[in-house]
Amino acid sequence: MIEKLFLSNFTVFESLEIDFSPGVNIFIGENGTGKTHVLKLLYSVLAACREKIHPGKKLASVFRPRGSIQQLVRRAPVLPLGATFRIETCDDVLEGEITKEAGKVSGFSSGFDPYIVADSVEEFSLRPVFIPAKELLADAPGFIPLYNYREISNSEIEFDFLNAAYLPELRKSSASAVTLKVIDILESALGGTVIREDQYFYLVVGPMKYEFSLVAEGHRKLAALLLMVRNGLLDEKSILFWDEPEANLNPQLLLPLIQSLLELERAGVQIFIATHSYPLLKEFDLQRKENALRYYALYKDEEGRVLCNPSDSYLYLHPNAITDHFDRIYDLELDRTLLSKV
Amino acid sequence: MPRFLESDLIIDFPDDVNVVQLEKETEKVHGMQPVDFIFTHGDHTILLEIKNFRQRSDIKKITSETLAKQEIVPKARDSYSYLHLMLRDHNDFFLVFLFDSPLIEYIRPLLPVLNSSINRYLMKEAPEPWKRQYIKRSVIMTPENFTTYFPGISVTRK
Amino acid sequence: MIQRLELKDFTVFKSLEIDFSPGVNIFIGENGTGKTHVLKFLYSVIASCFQKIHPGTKLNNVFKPEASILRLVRRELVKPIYASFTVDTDSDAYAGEIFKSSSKPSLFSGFDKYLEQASDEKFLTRPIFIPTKELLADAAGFISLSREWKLTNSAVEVDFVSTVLLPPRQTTNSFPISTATLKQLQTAIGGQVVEEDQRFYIKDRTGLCEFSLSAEGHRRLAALLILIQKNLIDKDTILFWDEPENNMNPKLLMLLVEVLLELQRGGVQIFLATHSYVLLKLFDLLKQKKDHIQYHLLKFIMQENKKKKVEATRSDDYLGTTESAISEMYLKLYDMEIKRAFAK
Repeated sequence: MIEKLFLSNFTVFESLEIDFSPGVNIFIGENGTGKTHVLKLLYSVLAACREKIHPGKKLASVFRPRGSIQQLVRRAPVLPLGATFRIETCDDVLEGEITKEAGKVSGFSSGFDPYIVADSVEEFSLRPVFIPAKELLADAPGFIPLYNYREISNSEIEFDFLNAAYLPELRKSSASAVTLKVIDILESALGGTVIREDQYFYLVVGPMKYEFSLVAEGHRKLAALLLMVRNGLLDEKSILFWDEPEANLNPQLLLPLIQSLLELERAGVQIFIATHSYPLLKEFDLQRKENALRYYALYKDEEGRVLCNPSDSYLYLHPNAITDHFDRIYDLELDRTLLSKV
Repeated sequence: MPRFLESDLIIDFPDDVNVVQLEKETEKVHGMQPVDFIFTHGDHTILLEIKNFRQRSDIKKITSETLAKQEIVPKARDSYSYLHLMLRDHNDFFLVFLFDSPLIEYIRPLLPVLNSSINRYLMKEAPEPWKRQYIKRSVIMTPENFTTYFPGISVTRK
Repeated sequence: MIQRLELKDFTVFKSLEIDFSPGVNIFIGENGTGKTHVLKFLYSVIASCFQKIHPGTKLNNVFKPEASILRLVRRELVKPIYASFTVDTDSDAYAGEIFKSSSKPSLFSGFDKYLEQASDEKFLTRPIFIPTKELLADAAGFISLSREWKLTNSAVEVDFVSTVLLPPRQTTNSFPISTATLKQLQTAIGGQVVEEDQRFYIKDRTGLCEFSLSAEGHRRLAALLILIQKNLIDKDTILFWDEPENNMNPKLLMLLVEVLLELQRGGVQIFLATHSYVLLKLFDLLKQKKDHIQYHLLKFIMQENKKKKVEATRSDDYLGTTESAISEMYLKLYDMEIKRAFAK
């Protein structure tokens, strides 16, 4: 699992220090407070080790800055000289420095060496899986070869996800009880199952087979999780990153989604989520049983610096940009009802 | 200064507000259960129902459907019937549900949704919707914000 | 403006008849009830005339069914044999039939006068569809890719990016939103939106920030701002927006709803599909008396033969939507929270 993160001068963050929960980690905050960047950074660093490629290269292909990863250094009136990060997992310490100084090259610590140095044989113990906010399964055919062949500017997260989606299914006999349970929850919510023929995905409901381009986006979302689970990618070594799982989902489908995620957490999957959704937050809070869960509120102070307040309890999560706004709606309703000229 | 006690709350009305406890007038009418107070506010007649939920046993009454369907809307409807029969229905009627409960902090963001539930029953209780919109609008308020919208009326805890 | 739609046996719809508002039309319904399909369909019809592309081709490029548009006919085992539609606008009437059997070609009527390349008939209405996937981080790259390769992306995505890249349009129509609102948009986004060499940036005090590093919610508002600034959205526009709430924090949604209401006052007819309680509530709270908003609720109905069909109800009033799955869900959250609070 990922235990700690330190950041300095990275994208919108002047300085950030977080201790993570081994279970579900949920980030909220207004647009522009860096939620997605935290997820992308953690993913990039872990994926680099897992795939045995240089972290600088992985950061570039995930963030896709124009030019170089120097664009990831925080932009401020007084330019910082560089950005640094430090990620502590249960086994490793992975550090890096992205420099803006002329003539200096970005450096990554020796913590990476066992995995990425040319003739290394050591396998990174953690498996990062990122489900992107843009659901791509309908556009999957042709994407992978095109990505390999041409300079496409899609984030590599989408490429990695599709590669994972195209893996073969686990045999039921080697699937864990949790895997089978989650598959069942998701298939019930979908009303059918997902199959793949060549490069095309279909939703099969009874005798009908629907190509994904015609399937509701919310259902494709659930299908995305189903594929990751069915392909054996989410076990106790896995770390799942999901940016805005609520997008395209009618709130009614949130329940099976959250139940699945909580089951996976109980089986040892560490989960990172960024969200804007009140029902998602509420359902996590209401459905959690003995799950490890921590919330993080990202917000800007008066000087525009992004800060982070962690909380183990939803009620004390503060500032809560989402409920604050619901309160605002409540006040608006009172104003409109009682104060306006009818 | 008319002063009333309702559950745990003390409500003080200014002298120039005509406030009535309908129950005193309707007690002999079998089956009629009105709201706690009615008073005039500008051009409107306010039907004020106050609920204080603190006991475990209250849980059944406070769920979204029961609260709207059984606890609040029938009282609003009875109050309207009474005032209509007494030719006291010239103004537009507003329903104010004053929700006093330590639970408010958990559900404050959801109060507008609960209000929609109340509105749904105000418009329709029978299989056919009412032909007459007898309550113009409804809102849910708390002791904390009541005075902001009704200046002069103070709501304090015993 | 689009006035009326009738669909028979098209995708999930057995039979659908809707009269639209000249203002904002909001579609609500669970996943799978066809909200996006209605938007895509209407867009295809208008875009076919605007772009001078045969409607069958346009439907194919927008929906991307496997093989051909025959797959758009509602899937029951034997019948129906064809899907049909009529669309009435204030100036035209369109109709069509799509047969399930490949031996019978589809029929379309009402389009011909616009499809002729040399035709004098000017089709003034510009349809703009903002898809859930906004691909503006490398707009030019995506367009050149789509020209070179047969991508599987829906035409709505390609059309949207192409439109945003267009040069500013000369027009005598006035700006559909006020300068004050434009400024509010810029403040929310974090700066002005700047285009250089077909790449987009947000310009703030510290310089130019490229789109790929900006918050997605800001990018979507930025896209809207670009279109308005280039005079590509005005009273001759019909705007389709699939799930505008995506990636938007509730605070930003408030500004978005105000902008949409203002566009509607400026004459833009708007079609939205949404899952968001906040968006619905905000439309209801921010609208003024003169604004036209209509809610179209799509629901699954169980028939006697145990099969589900989709039914549409229309309401002028937000409260008419309280039967929807969204508000039911929120009420359920309320009930669960109360239960839990009492249990403590």
